[in-house]
Amino acid sequence: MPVTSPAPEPAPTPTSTPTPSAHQPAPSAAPLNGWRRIALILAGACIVATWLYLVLTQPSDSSFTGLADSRSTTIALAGFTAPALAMLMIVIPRLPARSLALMPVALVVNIVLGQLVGTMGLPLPLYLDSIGTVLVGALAGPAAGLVTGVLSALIWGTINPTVVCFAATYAFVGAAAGWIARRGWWTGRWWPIALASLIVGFISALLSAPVASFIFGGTAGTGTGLLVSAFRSLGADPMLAVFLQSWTSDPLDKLIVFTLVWLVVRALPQRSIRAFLPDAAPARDA
Amino acid sequence: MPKAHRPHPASRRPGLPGLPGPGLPVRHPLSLLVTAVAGVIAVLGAHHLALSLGALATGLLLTRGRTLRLATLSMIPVVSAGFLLMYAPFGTEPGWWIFTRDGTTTALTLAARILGATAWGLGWGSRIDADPLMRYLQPRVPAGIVYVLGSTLRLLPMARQRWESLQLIHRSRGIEPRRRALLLPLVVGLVDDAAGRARPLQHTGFDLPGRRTVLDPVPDHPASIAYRIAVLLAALALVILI
Repeated sequence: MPVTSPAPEPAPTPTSTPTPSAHQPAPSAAPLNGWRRIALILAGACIVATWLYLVLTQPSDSSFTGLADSRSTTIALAGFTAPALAMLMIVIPRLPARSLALMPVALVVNIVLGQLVGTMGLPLPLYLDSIGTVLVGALAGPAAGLVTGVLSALIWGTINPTVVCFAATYAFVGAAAGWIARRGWWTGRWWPIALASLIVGFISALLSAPVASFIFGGTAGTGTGLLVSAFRSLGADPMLAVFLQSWTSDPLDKLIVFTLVWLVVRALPQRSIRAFLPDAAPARDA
Repeated sequence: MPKAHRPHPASRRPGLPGLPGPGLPVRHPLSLLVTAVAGVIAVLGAHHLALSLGALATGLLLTRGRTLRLATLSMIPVVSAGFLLMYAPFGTEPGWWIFTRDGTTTALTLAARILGATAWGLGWGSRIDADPLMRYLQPRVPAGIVYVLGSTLRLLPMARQRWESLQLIHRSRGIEPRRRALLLPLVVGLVDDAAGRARPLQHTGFDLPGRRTVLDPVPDHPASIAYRIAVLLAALALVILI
């Protein structure tokens, strides 16, 4: 059940409670109706519009040779972060308690691994900061994945404020994991997950490269910096080099993350998987 | 005759963040958070070297706890190296070895900006007491956000305990515990625990809409509200004027 399209949920009665299959996970959010749906669409449109404006016009108000100057940073900060926060406020009241119970685990996993990989001096062009987000998406659906992505950026932001700007990217990765769950791929064979992870990685690179370029002027890690340097040596300009670095790192990163989550989901007891499925509780009205 | 309301003993302590008393407006937990956020926005938006370095120095001075300060300091070489790799060899003015003069300047300016924003955010963030902040936010934001924020802060010790238990299990079997081997059981165990908590949480109607009661509410003062508005306006002014 997608976030924006309501679907009937069976009333949970002792005699008619279906046994949910791990191959058919569904999202856990109550349907979004009326202004919430419109607001969610507007927030998504705002992110797309910001991306298009930044990438196509490359605004600049100085002769600064880096990508990030005052104007582009302000536009990117407002255009990517504010809609992600709006999405969080719209979706989180619709989530059931069992999805919320899973999120702290996901956030701890994201933050501990992400911080470990991000701050170590090793030249590793990976992030590994979305295992928890993907896990929530896989178990509890796209709405829960989206919320986990944004909250991950916010909470991790308390120890690394720079990641807050990537909230929209994290939200997309979580929602995408939930959409994949609708197809029942998480408990199936590995290769559909691998294929999906490469596509998600490609799109998340598209989203994160302008943030890295226009807010920070590039990448702040040694591994990713080495990749950018290599692409610049091949003749790419700074923005193209950041895009190429993202297109190299993100699909690889998501392949590892999705594979790990696939292993975790397969190792989980069925009762744990069922606990996060939506038919354990009645849907609420809009 | 009903007993007169007695404030929590802690709330009578002067100057405790977020609680009544003669504390400064800046010590309200939300004021600290707003100061942290406004500073990050100002440093990133204004893009001025002096402001970045000032924020870096102030942030490091304000940071509470040696571990957190060391964590901020450890970011300096990593971030600087990342930007130097990206910009230093690709400038136009020759410098030393592969470091061009203008490329190195650009790299270090960008690194100072990120580090300034990070140090400022961490410095002010380290002064926030999470409990009063959660209590202040409880009636003001969706309950789910407060639950997730609060639980995440409390989950870290539980995760550490489980990690130690797993290590103990491995050692008792005569296997030397390796991080990679412990990661999967750790995550699976934490998710399984969360599944156990999910049903009771659902049965209590935790996710139902409506106002929540806070037993020991954190008051807000007009001076604190004015301070927060002023800080946000100042950040905006810095972005526009510099």
